[in-house]
Amino acid sequence: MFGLLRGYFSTDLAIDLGTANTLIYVRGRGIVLDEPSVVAIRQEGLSGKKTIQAVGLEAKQMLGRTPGNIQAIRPMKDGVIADFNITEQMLKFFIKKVHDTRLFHPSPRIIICVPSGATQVERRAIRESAIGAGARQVYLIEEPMAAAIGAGLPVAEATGSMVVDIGGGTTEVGIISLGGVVYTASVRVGGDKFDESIINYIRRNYGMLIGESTAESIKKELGSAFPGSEVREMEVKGRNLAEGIPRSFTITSNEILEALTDPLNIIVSAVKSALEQTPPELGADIAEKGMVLTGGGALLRDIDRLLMEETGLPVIVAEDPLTCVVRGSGRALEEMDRLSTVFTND
Amino acid sequence: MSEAFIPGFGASLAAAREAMGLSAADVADRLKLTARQIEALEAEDWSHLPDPVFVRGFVRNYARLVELDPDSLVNPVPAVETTTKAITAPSAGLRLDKSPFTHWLLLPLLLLALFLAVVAGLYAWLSQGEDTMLPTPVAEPPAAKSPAAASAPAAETVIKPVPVEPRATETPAAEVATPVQGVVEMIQPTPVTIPADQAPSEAAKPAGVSMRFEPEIDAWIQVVDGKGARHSRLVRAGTSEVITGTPPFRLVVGNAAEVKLTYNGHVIDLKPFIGEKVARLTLE
Repeated sequence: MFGLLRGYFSTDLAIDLGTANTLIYVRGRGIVLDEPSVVAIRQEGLSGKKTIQAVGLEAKQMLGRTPGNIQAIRPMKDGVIADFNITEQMLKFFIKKVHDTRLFHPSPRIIICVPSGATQVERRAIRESAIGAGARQVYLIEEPMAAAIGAGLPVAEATGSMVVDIGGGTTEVGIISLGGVVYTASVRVGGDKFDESIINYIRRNYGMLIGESTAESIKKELGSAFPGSEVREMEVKGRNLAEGIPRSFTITSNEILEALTDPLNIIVSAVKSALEQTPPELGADIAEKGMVLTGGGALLRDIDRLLMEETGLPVIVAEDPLTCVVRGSGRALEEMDRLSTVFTND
Repeated sequence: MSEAFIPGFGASLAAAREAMGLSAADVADRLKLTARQIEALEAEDWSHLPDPVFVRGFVRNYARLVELDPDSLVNPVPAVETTTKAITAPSAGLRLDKSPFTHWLLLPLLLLALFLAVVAGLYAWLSQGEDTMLPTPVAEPPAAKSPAAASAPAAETVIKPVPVEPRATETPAAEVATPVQGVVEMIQPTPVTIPADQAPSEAAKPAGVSMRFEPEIDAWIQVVDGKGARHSRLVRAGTSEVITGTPPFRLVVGNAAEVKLTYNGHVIDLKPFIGEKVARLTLE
């Protein structure tokens, strides 16, 4: 009875629980929350009790800058849960944040995205953390499907559509037709791997150590996937490994392109392998319409050009690629009855 | 379909391409489209083009290739646009619009709070008033009460005594008695009135200190001793009343100007303590 009442006072949500960012779509209102998936935990001095210091943007600013008793954690790794309890707490915080009622503890129905490559155990972990965070009912939707719906592809029609969602932790490749996934592949390469590659490249070639945030800003500023006509430069500050003293140095976009070659090759291989597995009829559709890029990785300069050159197919970047997955989940939420086939049964 | 695009986008693309010296085949090669699709794009021939979502992508790619601003050719999609705005807003301290249910919930809650406040206020007021005003039936009916008694509680209601009116002595005792005793009753229900047999027992105590009241006219007295024992009664004119107890005593004496008080053999002058007609003092 009480659960029913709480349910009445809760609004249904679609959540893109991403490695880098968590986005929440509220039924009837649209996207209302976009926060980094970061939680800062404070450990009390004597008791050793752990309390949440900050969640989201505030916690992200603490990454790499925390004192001994505070730990900034990213509870999601490679698209799946790495720390169950912290993920649950983070979800709880976000769910509470989007509900303006203080009377009842919200108990919404939730659609939550999972990578298509997530194992049964990982899916269950996501489902249970959502239930632990107060969800009344949890539906799972695979990310390529959500991304395709969000990008506006004709998923329900008898025509093949290909979507490549490059997220923070994973890259999902999906071929969709008639409201179902024909082929899906997931590789654990995404924005985080790009950052990691930049950190490693700079350490190897410059003997400098830089943090994740710096690597991310280099990626956004200079990162590109295809050699362009202009070479851009950026001054970067880091710690010199030999001297142990902070120094600054200048890095160019060509060097970053070189650094990103390895993870980009993995994505290209995944796309090629998906095309190889595609039934010929759907392949013909894709050859005509091309593939659609979504996710934060689609914002990497010239990544569409790289895939175009590698596959010889048209590649388009979805409009507002960062929110495609959550918008797709949101549409599935709004049209839950009509789009019931898009949910996974696991 | 065409509402998603700025009219004339095909011609703009073709003009920009020609200005750059590119052929349709060159563009098709760069964008991995067929030459037929490029021609259809430039001619805005929808029958040879796929779904609008793809065409928008093609137009954007084409525009970037020929160095045109993609947004000048493609109309923003309203649905996408609104959500984009929502998400670019900083989410820290994000407050959503009020959900509809709170509106109707708020009113009953306010009414409930108001009702509770009124009830609480009424209760507080009544219980305060009861202490001083509302009499309750008394266990011990006094033998005879004068109008002084009747008026004492009403005005005294702890503080203000009322002038004595001897002519009212005829007033039936029961009528006037209740309020007097009521005062006492409400202040301390249990020991309220001293039963007749209690006086000797207290008087018998050798350790006690005694005081004597000798009023010229009827006077109402109340004495609370150090142990909390309360003595309150009407002392008739010409009679005397001895009260024994443990100091300190808190005294309230009506018609105090006409009362002679002897405490441990010393006469106490009540005049400095009289306000209106009632004297309030503490004897150590």
